[in-house]
Amino acid sequence: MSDQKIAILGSGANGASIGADLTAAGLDVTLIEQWPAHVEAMRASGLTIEMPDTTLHVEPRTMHLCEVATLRARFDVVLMLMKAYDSVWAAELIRPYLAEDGILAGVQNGMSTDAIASVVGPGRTMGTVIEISSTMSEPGVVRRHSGPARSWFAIGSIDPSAEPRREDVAKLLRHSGTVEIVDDIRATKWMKLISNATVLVPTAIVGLPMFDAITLPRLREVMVGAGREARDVGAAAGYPLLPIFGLSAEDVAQPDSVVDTLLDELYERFVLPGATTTVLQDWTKNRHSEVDDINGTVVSEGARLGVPTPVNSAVVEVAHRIERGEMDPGPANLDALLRLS
Amino acid sequence: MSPLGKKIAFVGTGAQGSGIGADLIRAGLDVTFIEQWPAHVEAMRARGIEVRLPLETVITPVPTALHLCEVAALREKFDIVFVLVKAYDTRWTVELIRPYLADDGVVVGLQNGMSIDDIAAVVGPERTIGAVIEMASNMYEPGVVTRQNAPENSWFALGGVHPEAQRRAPDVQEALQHAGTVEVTDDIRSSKWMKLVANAGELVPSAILDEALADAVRMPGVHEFMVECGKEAARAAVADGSRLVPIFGLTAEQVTGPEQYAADLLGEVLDKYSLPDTRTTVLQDWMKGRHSEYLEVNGLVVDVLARTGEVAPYNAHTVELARRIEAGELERGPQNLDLLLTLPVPAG
Repeated sequence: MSDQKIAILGSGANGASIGADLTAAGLDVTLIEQWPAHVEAMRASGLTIEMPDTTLHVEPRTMHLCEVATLRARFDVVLMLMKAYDSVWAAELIRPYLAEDGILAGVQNGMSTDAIASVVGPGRTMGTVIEISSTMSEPGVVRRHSGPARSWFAIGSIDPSAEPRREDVAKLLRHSGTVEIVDDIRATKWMKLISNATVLVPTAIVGLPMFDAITLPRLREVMVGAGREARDVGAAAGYPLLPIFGLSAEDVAQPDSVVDTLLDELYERFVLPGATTTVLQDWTKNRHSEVDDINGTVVSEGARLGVPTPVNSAVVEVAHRIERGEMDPGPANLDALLRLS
Repeated sequence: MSPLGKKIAFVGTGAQGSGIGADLIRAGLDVTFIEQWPAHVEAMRARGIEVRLPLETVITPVPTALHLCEVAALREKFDIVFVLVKAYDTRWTVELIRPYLADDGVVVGLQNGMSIDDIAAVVGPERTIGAVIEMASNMYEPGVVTRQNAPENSWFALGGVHPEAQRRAPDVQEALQHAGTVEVTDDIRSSKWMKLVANAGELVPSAILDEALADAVRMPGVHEFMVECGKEAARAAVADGSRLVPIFGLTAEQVTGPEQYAADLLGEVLDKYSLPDTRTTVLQDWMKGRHSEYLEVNGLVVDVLARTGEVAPYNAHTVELARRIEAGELERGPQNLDLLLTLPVPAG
């Protein structure tokens, strides 16, 4: 077990945070990353994780994506922390370097588990929900808003043959936070999707940190509307509401109020002042966001299952306009969002 | 708008990709380079791409050289995407570029191996064009390519596996003709198999010996070994449903039986498309400590023949030696000559 070879595939803010924890724990871990300057910075001066009450500095083993073709040994566990839309190509990239009995865990947003399984097989696939808040403003330096005490993961497999391996992944992630092993990872990831559909893109559209966005009159209406549609689509898909993210069994027994409760719990427990969403961070860097993997999935699954999703459609439409450069994120977009939905 | 009116991307701008891409840029086409080696991207941005041809050196400014990690910032879609990555990198590369391929765009696999099916699995057969590439080049320094065949000595074949893709082949031909002679074939699968017949003998055996191709061929017994690899590959091509077809500018009359044709194709590569110091792509990869395409070439021959219960001892032996070299169990070098030429005695 101690000679287990581990890779972090995608060592951005979240990936680097976990990679730093595993490095500090003395495990055999390689941080694979696509941003050249970040790899160079980590090689030159190590990786710094600034947390609210402490700073972690490690000298990790890192590898640029283009160096993957020089790998000789295979990995036993690969934790993939790429954007959801990068899941398939990243899984294809790492497939030749995953041990026959290795595990590829998609530690990311979106319903990526089945896409990963289509590449490496369900027996080598682990689905994961991740609840960490972090940003990377300069190469080699991560600001992690939620340290291990405030970070949370859920892990589950979609194939019985992978069930015994859940603990292997859990053991690793416990270095970075609390880990829950779940029986229905698809439903768990859909719970996270409800939360993401509510918060990530709507707050990014108004261009504000999550904490400030919700104070805008009527934005909460859009957020809850998007979340309720996600809840309804999940119900149509057969995903039960689960008591996670601080929700109790009573909370999830009340579908009418569950999205409001989820939103309140999220803001109370996880949302920190100043923290911007991954979507707004992507837009600030002029990159594509995960909107199609979050609200877009609610829309496409809703269409498939006959559940109307006007609010999510509006969120997707405005996000696409922003990504096409037709408008910038900002509070003024709330009108467009309300008009379209 | 460029002369062709198409947005073109080169994904993988190593020795072959940047050498060909430079010709298209100089022809005034709208070309974006997408590359995974950071130092190479920086060098091309700073100084353009320097292509050292046999008779001249040409430096071409590259208007847009993107690193892989910048693909997520792309806003427009491409009409033609030329893929020039190693065969084993095909699937992930095409997955990466898929969101940026126009609905009626095409991906053109300018690669060794039968990558056509990998590409089609990702973007659909109606957007897939297979290609054969015959030119020799190398790159050991970022931004600087040695291209051993000028466009007048470079040869390509193109074709779709679906009528919709085949309809677009002439556009691709028009773009690619700036880099060499381009034929459109109605049976690209067979054409790619013929290239594999040449590759099966040429690429890996010379690399196992750590020799330039021409030097390896002169070693006693090596040419015969290479021809045997090629013959097995020709049998695999037929077993896979392909035909023996002319490539490299040969005519139909020059296509003989599988035995002679394997030797002739290898002869064409040696005579027309390589120089005395040409090292194969496999040897270049090993020199850089990287994986090679031995499974996509010799491994495929073994697998395809195994499906019909046939054996491919020369290719199987080549695969095993390549595996040992990549695993660090065997050093490449001329001392492997006897080992290469001594096939294991079949069990039983």
